[in-house]
Amino acid sequence: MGNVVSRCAQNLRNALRTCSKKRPEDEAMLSVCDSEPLDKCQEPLFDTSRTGVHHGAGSGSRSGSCSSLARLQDKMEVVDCKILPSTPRTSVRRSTPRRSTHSSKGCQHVEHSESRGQSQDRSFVDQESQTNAVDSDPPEAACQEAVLSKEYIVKTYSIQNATPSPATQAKFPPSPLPPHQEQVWLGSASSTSSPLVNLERRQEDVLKRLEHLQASVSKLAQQYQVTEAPAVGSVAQQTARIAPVSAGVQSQSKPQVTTDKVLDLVISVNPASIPFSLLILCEQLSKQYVILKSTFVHSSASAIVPERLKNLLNSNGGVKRGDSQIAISIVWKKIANGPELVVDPSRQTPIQGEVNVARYLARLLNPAWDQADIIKATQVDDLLDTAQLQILEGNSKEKAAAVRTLNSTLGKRDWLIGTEPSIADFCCWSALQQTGQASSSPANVKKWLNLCSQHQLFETVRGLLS
Amino acid sequence: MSGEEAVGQDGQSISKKALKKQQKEAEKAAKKAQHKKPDNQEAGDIDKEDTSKGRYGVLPLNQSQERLQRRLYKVSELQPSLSGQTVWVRGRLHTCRSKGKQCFFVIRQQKWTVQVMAIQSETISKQMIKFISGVTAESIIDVEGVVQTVGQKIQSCTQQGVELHIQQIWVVSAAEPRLPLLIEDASRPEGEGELATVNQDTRLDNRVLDLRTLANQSIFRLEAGVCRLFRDYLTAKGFVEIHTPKIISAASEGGANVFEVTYFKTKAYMAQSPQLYKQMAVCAEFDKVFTVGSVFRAEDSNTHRHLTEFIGLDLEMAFNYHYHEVLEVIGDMFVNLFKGLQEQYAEEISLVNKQYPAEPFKFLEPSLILNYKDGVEMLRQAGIEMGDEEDLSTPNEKLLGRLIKAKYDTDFFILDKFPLAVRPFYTMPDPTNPKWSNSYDMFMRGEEILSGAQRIHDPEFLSKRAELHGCQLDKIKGYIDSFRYGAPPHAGGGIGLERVTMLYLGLDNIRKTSLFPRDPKRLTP
Repeated sequence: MGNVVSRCAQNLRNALRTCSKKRPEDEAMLSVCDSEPLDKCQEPLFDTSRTGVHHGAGSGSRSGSCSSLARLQDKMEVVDCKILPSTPRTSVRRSTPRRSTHSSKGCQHVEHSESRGQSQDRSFVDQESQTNAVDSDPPEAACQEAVLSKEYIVKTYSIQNATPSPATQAKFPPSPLPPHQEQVWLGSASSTSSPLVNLERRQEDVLKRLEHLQASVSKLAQQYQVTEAPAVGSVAQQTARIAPVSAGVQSQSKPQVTTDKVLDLVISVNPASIPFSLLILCEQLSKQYVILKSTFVHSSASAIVPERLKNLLNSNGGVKRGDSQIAISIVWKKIANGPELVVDPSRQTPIQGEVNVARYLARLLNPAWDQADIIKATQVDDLLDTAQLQILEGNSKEKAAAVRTLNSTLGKRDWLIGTEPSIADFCCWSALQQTGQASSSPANVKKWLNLCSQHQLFETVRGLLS
Repeated sequence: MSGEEAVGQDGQSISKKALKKQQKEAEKAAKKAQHKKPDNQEAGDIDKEDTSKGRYGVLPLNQSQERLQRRLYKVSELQPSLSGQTVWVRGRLHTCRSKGKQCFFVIRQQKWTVQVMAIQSETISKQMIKFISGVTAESIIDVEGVVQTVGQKIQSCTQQGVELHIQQIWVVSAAEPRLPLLIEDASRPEGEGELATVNQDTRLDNRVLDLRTLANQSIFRLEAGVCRLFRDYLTAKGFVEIHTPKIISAASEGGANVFEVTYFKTKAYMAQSPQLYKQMAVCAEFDKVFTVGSVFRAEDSNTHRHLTEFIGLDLEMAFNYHYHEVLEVIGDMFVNLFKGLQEQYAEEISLVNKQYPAEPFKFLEPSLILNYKDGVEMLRQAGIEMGDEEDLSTPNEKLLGRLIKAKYDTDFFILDKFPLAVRPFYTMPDPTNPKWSNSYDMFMRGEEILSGAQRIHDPEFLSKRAELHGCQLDKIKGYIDSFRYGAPPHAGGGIGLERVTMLYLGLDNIRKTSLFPRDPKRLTP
């Protein structure tokens, strides 16, 4: 559904671009299309806020990310934020849907992490958009928040949904039939004021308004005699292969491998904690692309890097720099916030944290990551957050809880997601190995660890365990 | 006049005028005497009681009269473990503060300093304290004293745990009372507070004094280290040190201007690079050679990084298959050099940083090698417009240094595969694309420090390339001929000692790292 919305917004935007002359009132109306998230997509590197990897200095590695929900929300926001610029809105809270997967069991846990999430999210929103952050909670919102406070994910939606225009409320009376799948996924939401119903209603509302907008835009286009921009179609065709929904603007925001120049990735890593998942991903990448791999030791770490790590990634002169598509350099370095990825220093802040770098690499492997299967992508993101926030950085309680969650997940299947080892398996495996919890893990996790270590994808990193 | 006066003195005849004059003078003298009386009296009083006689004074000029069997301790040896012992120390009087009955002064010896205390006592008279406070700064003195530990650390000295309680002080060599610059001022970080600092020209004009500052002491010790580490590494790698002539008959290399000197009845030139001789040595079966020596450049450029005479560290090496063999040796040499400095000169580096703060030098191991093309691409992404085959301008060079620092966090990197068009004629072109060449530059903190390449070792090809560059073949005949009797493929490069030291320490001017710098405007001292 989000795709539909974003596609509409895209079309409108393209139409708008072609209008060279605008009256003020038209512009005011059309400014709704000119929403920030789309603009951000045009930044050439990649949209860090979209994937939730960038949280400003300091909190970087903690931030974990929320990308899954952000993905859904962004697509709503793209349209919604600007359509009702005058409506009082709460600042959009983002969080991971992770909490919902073990809702009843980990109630205190949810509350604990909620407060943390809240403060983080606050800064996240401030940073991202000053335009639409109106912090006065309307009474409805407060009320719903109280009712649903134990379900964090639900709350997020309800708050966001708390201020529909009176018109829409009249038009769309509450209907108590949320889609089956989503209900399962979101857990205990079932009342008539269900956030899902609200969400659905709001989407309808948004679509209505978009149609209306489209109509006005085409009217304007006729008025000013502009033709549809032909470029949009062709660009979309070009990128359709990888990302059927996104047009040219969006493809620029993704990590992308082009033929004419080397994509040069530099990952600084602390030798004290080897990011196994990244090594596995590099290995996978080198099957897909021509990769120049090299390892450096930074002068700050020259005394503490063991000999066996000094040539960890190495193309052994087999690949010339000029012939490679991607150059990956690992720099062993004394670094505080986990692995750090830099691609283009002039337009980017470093991406910090193992799973966030892994997210980037995974999108290089599969550029359609965010389009293909939103549910799966969200579930993966959830597991990645578990790996980073709970296993790698959490306290012993959180660590134990995370391992229990993994254990219950692995009770039903061999791999964490799907039938093949995925990035989620890599990151969780890596996190468990780094924190030394592999040996004392419960049965299902142990079984899975064994499975991992026998799998050929884990072959490269197996030797690094000592 | 003198006659008259002589008469007057004899008391025989004095003219009126002279009489008056005499009277006046007598009055003056009386007044003077009266004025001085208290002093004299005091001096007289103490003269009688000067209990310190024979404990201080100015030593006679040392003409090696006798050889004392007295152990002189180094200031650096004065440790709390020596507490209670009486030691002799020779050093310079760094600073002195006297307050009535007591006096504190600091003895400096190279980079070490120790505080000495003198308090009036039975053995130390007031005259002695007065004498001490009269010794000019920078004089060389011998001091005998008892080592005492102190309760509170003395922050201003290197020997923080001990001080000397004076017993004897003798001036070995006195300094002029008026110094052209004060060591204290010259040691002050620039732009800090309102206290005086010394400008560059004053420093260079009085380099002997200027070099006594802690920072300068450290800089030149570190510079010696650069040279030593360069020699040690290459020697260990099987290189042979050679010495090349500095007076040459013709410009060996195009480009840089040469100094002309009169050579008996003809003209000669000062070598602006030992390159030709290095290459000849390689062709003469030395295989791998390096040389350390002065290089002269008659370039009228008054910048922070150009000198007309500097020390070149040059190396040249025959390789087997690929010039990257040489590139790796040079890269490794630098890593070794930086590591050695980091380990062996940590104290010197921190002392220099006290006066000239700079970020510590960062590097990667192995050295980062990027292609010129990649560098240009990075610059373009940062918004610089430049062509593929354009040379790096100085600002672009700096910017590229910053970009690479931001990405790789390294202050040292190598750019490979420069455009052929911007390199000298003897540079070997790239085998696949004639646009590029087998040449490389190395950068420290965004400034070029080494420029090198695989050289053309085929005389015919070399002549062709030289002609293309518009070189007169007869002038470089000797150079080309040296490859006619079998020449191995070889590559090399040269670095400037001063520049490497300057950039390693993050200094802003190359004159700070040249002992007695030579630039277009300075030929002295």
